[in-house]
Amino acid sequence: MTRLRTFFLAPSAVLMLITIAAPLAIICVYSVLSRGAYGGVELPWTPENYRRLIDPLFGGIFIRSFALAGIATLLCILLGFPLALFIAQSGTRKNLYLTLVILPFWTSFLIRLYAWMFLLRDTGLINTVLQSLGFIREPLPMLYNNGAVLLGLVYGFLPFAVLPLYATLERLDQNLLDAAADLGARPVSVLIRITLPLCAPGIGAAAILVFVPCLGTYITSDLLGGSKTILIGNLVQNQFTTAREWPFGAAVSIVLMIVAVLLLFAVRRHSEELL
Amino acid sequence: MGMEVILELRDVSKEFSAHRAVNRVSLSIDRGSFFSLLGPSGCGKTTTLRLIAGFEAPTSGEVWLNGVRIDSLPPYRRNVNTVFQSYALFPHLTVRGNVEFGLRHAAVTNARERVRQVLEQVQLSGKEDRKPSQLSGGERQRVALARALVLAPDVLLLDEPLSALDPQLRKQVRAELKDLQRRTGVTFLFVTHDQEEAMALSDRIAIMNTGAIEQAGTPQELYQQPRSRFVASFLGAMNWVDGIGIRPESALLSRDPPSNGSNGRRGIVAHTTFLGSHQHFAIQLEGGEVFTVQTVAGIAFKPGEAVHVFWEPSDELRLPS
Repeated sequence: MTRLRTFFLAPSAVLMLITIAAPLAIICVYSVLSRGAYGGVELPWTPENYRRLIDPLFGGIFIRSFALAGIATLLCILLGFPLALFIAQSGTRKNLYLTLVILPFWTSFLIRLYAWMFLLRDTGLINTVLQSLGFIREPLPMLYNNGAVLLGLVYGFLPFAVLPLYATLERLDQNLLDAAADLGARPVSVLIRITLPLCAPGIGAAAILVFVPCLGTYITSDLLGGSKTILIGNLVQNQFTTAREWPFGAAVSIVLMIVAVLLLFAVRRHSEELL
Repeated sequence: MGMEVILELRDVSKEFSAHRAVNRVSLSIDRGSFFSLLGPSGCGKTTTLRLIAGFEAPTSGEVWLNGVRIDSLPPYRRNVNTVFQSYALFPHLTVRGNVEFGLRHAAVTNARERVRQVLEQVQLSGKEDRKPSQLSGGERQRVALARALVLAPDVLLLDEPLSALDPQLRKQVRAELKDLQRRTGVTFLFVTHDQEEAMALSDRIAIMNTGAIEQAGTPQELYQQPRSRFVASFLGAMNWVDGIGIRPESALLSRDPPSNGSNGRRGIVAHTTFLGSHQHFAIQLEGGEVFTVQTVAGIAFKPGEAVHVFWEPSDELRLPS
């Protein structure tokens, strides 16, 4: 039995080791090395890469990234909750709606972002239509700003909020909602006092699933944010590509990861307290 | 004794897409009484309860509570409260939180005192800060009762509240429930499929079958003067001989033919069951049917023995099938 278990677990254990543990170890080591003359890394060991992060320039990028990821998470939950509730209560049509929610995954995220660019740019569909109808004279600046990045994030990660919310709402005992109404609670009161608290684990899961990838995103900000909206993800990408500052890029990645893990524990502890 | 009617159903029907769950039910319940809806599972008794609570709307008919028509009001505007079969306690709230839940909507001033009182009534004092998951089945049931009773409902609706308890606890809780109803004076509408439970608890019983009420009355009336075969068989045991019903305890056994004036049949003792205070004999009649006779303990007939089963004509029940 134990041998059989080892046999079947071995492939995934090896895969995890190679694809997660090893790169992580390499990044950790890189983050305390010096920058090589032609890219790459070299000795001596130094804490300088972490010290550089105190620079207000990077502080701004961190704050913007956290703010955008935070707002995107909030919007995803606010938009996702009613949708999840609707799906959970739609009986035999549940599977159809769930399929529609995950349908966008059938197309590459990159391609879908390009589609947004075609919609939002100055000569894009929205501006062209509004101009030809005479509503506006000059095209609305909808692309290459924080708003466009936020739109891209909410659009891309909404399904990640809807699915865990749906999973908790679907399991919610209808008797509890009946009981609350029976005890005099109006629908809004039932939502606030019963549905939302009992949904806390689902909201926590949705928050993590949206916030963490949003925090590390770089494609969305790269394509929809232009050169103005630099996020942590773009910073890391730049260090490893054009800037050739691998040690600094590694340090930024490590800090980002630590913050994400700490948040994960905080959310988990909070939702455990509620139940 | 002129009793005041607190809850009245007038010709209430409920149709779901394929079938009629409740079929033209009319009943009236006296204030302060213990009323049971008794019937097999699927007979529509729980749907009837849900129509009164407001979780379902009737397809036709009227529901009147305390002189006000309530069938189109939402649940939160009806002064009835429900004890659910699964209790439906809020898992994220403590015992106190559960009991206080409804008071927050009721705008009462002495909420704290009322919670204390009702928890004392159901013997849960000292467990205010426990979560439902930390309580036993019996304690959960009492929280469900307290949570509903604290709102002083016109009628308390109980949906098989004893069925989730183990059999030993059930009889004890049954007595406590009856006692609680007497002390609080609240009208109880109790839904059950257990005829013994209904008989032991109720002032009046309505027996339901396939969505309709077969008969309503006191437990004695229903037992002694059932109006249909269904009622006669559902409430206590019944033997059927040539379309005539005889209760097992009304029949007698003897080795000799009975004297004039009694009706009877000949048969053979198939087997006997000793039940402490009394015993049951299963008699195979000449026609092949099995007839059950209940006697006091200590009467000796052996399996295989030829006997006469007989009864007084006045104990015969002639009922439409």
